[in-house]
Amino acid sequence: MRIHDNRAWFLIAPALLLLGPVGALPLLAVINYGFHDIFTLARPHWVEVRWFTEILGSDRFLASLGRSLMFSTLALAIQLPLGIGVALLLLGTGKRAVWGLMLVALPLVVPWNMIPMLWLGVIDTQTGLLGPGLAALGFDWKFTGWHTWALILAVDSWHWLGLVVVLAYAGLSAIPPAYRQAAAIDGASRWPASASPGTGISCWRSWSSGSRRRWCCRCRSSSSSASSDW
Amino acid sequence: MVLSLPIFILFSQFGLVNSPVGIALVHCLFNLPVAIWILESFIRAVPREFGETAFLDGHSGPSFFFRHLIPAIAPGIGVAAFFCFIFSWVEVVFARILTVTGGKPITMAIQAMFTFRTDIGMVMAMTCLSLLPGVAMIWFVRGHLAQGFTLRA
Repeated sequence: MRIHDNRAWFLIAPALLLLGPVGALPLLAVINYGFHDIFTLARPHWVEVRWFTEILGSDRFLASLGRSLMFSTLALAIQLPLGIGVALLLLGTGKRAVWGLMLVALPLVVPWNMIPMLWLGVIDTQTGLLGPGLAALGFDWKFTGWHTWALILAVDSWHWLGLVVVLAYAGLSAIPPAYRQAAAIDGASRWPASASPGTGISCWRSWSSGSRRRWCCRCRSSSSSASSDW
Repeated sequence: MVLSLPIFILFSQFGLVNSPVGIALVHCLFNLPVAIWILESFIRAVPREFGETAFLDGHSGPSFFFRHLIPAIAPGIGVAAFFCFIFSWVEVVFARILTVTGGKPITMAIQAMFTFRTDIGMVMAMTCLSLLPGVAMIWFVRGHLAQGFTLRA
């Protein structure tokens, strides 16, 4: 017997009631403002799509858009493999993994406005923990462009790696042990890159199909962190 | 965060600027989707037969919801609470715009310590203290972290 009952839809009512005023309404207001010339909010002046054409025609806007995309791409390219790697390492440590997980989750709870402060302290050329050594190597994030990029990417990775590790660990530990044993018998090693692609790919598939939705959440956080960093 | 200006205007009409309630409402904007994503995957993992058996046993909708479904996804609720707490705790952008003096969350309170003459030591001490609730939260969910968040059949 199957019971069909659509009343469960009512359960999304609170979410809609909440997101309507604080989400949808302000978003509509932003779109609306986008078509106005607003010197004071009391007297907006309708300018059709002038701002949009101006912005899209601006080289500086396109360049900054490119930089943001580049930053997000690089952050994902660093943090995903690194996070999955750390999660695999932790998975091998058995019960002690909880300490590792707690350690990597620690940077997540540092208030965002304190992260740059902490890092500026660490890389201070006179008093920092890493600063004098880095300065001796010729690292100068203030005057060399790619050094700045490297620093920001390092800081961003430091902050968000914990999230990737925790989520990757969750997904990886959902793979039944029998699955991994079968793959080992087939002659695959733990590491996808160094071995026959078999385990890597099959592990990846079974895992990614389960947690793709979580990656959406991860991408969102990455982009929001990027925007707050810039 | 592009929504800050209209939210500020909207909230100032309702007297929600500079109050913790206002910030909590705004934080729902990003925390609610996170919670929905996490909980959805947990609820999806509950087998359909679970509900059907409960109904055959004579449970009504609400009774099934509170007696069976919520205990079944309790780890998920813990995990969602963990992430929502963390994202809300470290949030800066809305906090900066929506608070002035009395309603400051911890992030802005630290920010306020930067004045003409800043004692970095004191700022760092405050930062350390601000980490404590987050660390406590990590400690509370450590079991779920180790189990990998997932329902096992």
